[in-house]
Amino acid sequence: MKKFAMLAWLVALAVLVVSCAPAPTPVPPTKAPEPTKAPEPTKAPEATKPPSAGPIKIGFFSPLTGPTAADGQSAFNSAKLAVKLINDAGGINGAPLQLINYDDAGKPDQAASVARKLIESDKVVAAISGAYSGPTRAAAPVFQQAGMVMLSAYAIHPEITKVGDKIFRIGTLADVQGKVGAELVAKNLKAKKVAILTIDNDYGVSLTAGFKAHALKVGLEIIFEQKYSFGEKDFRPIIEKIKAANPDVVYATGYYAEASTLVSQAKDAGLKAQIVGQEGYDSPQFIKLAGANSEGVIITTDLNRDSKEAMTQKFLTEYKKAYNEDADMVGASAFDAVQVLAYAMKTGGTTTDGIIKALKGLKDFKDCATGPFLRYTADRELVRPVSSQIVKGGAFHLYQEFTDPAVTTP
Amino acid sequence: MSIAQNLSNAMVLASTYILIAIGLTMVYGVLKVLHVAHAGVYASGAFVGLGAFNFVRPFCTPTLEDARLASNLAFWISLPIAMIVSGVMGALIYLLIYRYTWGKSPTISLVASVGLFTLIQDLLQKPFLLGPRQQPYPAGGAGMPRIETPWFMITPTQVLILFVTLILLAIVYVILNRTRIGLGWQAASLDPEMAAAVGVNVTHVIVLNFFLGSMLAGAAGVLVGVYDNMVFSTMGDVPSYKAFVVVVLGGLGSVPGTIVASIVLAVTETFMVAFAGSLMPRDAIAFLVLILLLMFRPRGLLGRA
Amino acid sequence: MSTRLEARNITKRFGGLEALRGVSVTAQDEILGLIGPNGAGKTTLFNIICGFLRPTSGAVIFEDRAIHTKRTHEITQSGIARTFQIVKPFSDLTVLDNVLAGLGCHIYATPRVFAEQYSTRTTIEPAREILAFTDLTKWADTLAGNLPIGLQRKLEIARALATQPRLLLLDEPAAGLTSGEADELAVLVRKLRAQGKTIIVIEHNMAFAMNLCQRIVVLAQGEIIAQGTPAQVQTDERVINAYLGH
Ligand SMILES: Nc1ncnc2c1ncn2[C@@H]1O[C@H](COP(=O)(O)OP(=O)(O)O)[C@@H](O)[C@H]1O
Ligand SMILES: [Mg+2]
Repeated sequence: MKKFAMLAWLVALAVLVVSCAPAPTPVPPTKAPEPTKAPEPTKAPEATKPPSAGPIKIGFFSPLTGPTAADGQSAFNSAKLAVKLINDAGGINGAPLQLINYDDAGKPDQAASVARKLIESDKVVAAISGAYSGPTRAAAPVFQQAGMVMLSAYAIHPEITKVGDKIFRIGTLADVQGKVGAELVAKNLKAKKVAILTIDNDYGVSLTAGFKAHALKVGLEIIFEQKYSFGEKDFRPIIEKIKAANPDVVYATGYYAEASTLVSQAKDAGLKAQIVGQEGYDSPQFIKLAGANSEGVIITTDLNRDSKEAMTQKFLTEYKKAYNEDADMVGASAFDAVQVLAYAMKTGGTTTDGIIKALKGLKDFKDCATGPFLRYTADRELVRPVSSQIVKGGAFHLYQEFTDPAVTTP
Repeated sequence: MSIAQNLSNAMVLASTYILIAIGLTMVYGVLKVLHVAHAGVYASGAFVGLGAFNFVRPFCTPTLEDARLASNLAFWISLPIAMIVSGVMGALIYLLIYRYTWGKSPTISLVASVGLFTLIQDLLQKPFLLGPRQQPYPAGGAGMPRIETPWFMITPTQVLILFVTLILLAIVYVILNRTRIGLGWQAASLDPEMAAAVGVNVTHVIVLNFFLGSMLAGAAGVLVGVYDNMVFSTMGDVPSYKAFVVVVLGGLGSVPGTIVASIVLAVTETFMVAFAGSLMPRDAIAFLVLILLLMFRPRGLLGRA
Repeated sequence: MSTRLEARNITKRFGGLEALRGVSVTAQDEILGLIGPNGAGKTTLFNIICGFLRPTSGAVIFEDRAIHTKRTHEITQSGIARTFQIVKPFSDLTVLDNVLAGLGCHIYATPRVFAEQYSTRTTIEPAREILAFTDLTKWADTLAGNLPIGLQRKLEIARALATQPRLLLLDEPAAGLTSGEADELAVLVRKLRAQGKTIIVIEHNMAFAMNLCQRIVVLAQGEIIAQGTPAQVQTDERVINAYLGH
């Protein structure tokens, strides 16, 4: 009896575990609103006739499980939103877009196998990474070798675009964002002494490199530097050291989870220095988790919520309407990746060469949430404005926009 | 200033390690099972506490116009709820799983445990429970005072953690060392078969054991959730292995050893991060300490030979 | 003289090995000896009586109630206690705490286990009496694991006595003892018998068993080959063969 009961339990467990495991699951084309999400009451039924050609498949991957799932979900939601808006407006020259999505669980190896799947089984025409730098770096060579265009939405590690001529970036290159950070600290905050805290991964290390390179030029003195691990929850020992070093500014790379912990613990410990972050902080989650401790924190980011651009405001309101939560930088970048890819396919067709040609010809593109995008450089990096935002009254607001080509050109 | 402050911070960190690891060491003591799913109970405790907190707070608000007081009251209601639910969860884990795997190959229990841990995390990540995002647990210090001395400062939340840990340890100490069932527990952890032969209902002892240990883990989940102002589905990931380091370091099955090991580990981590800088990630420090200790003292700090 | 214990037609198989084959034993108010060569199945029979093992077939009746389906702690609570061939005290507890653990026997099943401190006056006095009775008083605070083997055997008896048994099962209690210690043990067992307890002793040492027991059952290869008074058993041919042939 006991044996049977035990066996039954193990089997039940195994089944449950397997069914819940982060296996890649393709989602159906997102023309219909998701049953779990609030339906869109005001949208008129689709006006366009079903096109003669089948849907155009574009691949997408992001972490939907694991510790970075919140960002992955945000990116995926925004990509779906973009596809829906594009299809509602008639698709790509009449053909609807279909988003094929997989979960990379935040793991590079899973991202690489997902990339293969998108290419081989799903036969997508191009792909978008809604993933972090690590997984994106793993997937990029797979697309490059298959001769397929991949856009990196918000992964900012320099190596990603260096993989080859098929890999383009939407977000601001880490070097540029780091540079903007140093510019901001020196020129706007008029600070001298800086402490640097680096999250020990592709994202943090490349940002810090960019920051330090420019810091020398603008006369900043780096008086303290330390790394910490992804997911760190206890910055207290580091904060004690920073207090002793007494900098004007702490330039701390990280994501909103670490950042909210850091700023809260810094406030608790009575650290007075201004904390400057980057786009990793850019999420309503940061303000929600850090509460009042987030007030006054300044970040560099791609999303300017106070922008007057029509598409920015449209994205922000449509996102809120569709998902009943505020959009973030990650989402805006994924949205823009779909917008840019759709533009390229409209003008250049759906072949890789056509897409690349169209991307290279992109000029002053405003159909995006984080634009305007001036052009692509020869290294397939966008020349684009970089925003800095300050938390005020529980929301991100424009602090300063950086458009000086001397600073923002990759 | 800095050393005293680091020490006091380390003691708070140690308190959270203690609460998580004691349950694990108690389970190991009796069952000799590596109860990985304990970290799932910890995350669930935080989830239940947060749920109770968010549920109760609106009811507290109209009676207490001071929002701070309302949130303090909500916290003190949410903590015991989380502890009881976690305790029941732990007891059920034993009754539904380990009772059947116990005495079989230890790998079976381990596999079941790892599977269960994954299952709990995946469930917690479902949108109708915690969802993929971190949720704040804004209970602050729950009415505890701030302690300021010329050498160090203890925030109200830190006072809260120290206070709750001390009380819970006292309760567990009394149950294990002063009551009849505690003697039965000690007997069962030394030799379950023999304990039965002197009339101890080993099943009762083990269920109690799981209940107490899981209750502490639930409390730890709540306290860490408040300390970091963050509750999320994968918050058990780091504790799932770090608690093992603590338990092995302290000597498998030794409750006092677990307490000492938690303090040793928290202090080492804090000072390594403070003075050795970026040398290595803090979780690697835990394993380094473990390896070093096991080289010189294979049975752990206070373990039985 | 009522039947204290009846093991009825017990068979126990371990995989292919038949450790006991249709063994029936009854114990009255007496000191019953259970002897036989190594591997005969004696300890297995004890394990079945005290609930560590379930018989493959057969029944164990204790004071007119079937106990072979009950769990060990229930059997102990109903009045059967035992010691072990290889001593198993709670080695990290003191001698006194070992006895106190046994003294909890009858409240482990009640909510009082939470309320009752294990060394209050009501429990510590009986514990000290048992220690005095078994001559262990001066070791009360020693860790059981640190005692010499002879004292550990005594402690096992003391701990068993703490559960207030009416039937006491002793598995080779004289093994490893000096002859002086064995004599002391025999005195102790007779005292227990005088208190009215039924005692079953497994013994390897023939002389010790013959001297102590009123009746003897001889087991060989899982079967009873003889039983009767020591005198009867000693002259039984099959017994002599079994011992010599081994
Ligand atoms: N738990 C067990 N599993 C398998 N075989 C066992 C077990 N216990 C005892 N045996 C076997 O049963 C036989 C009888 O053993 P035992 O009752 O210990 O003999 P003894 O008469 O010496 O006490 C031996 O062959 C022994 O190997
Ligand atoms: Mg034997």
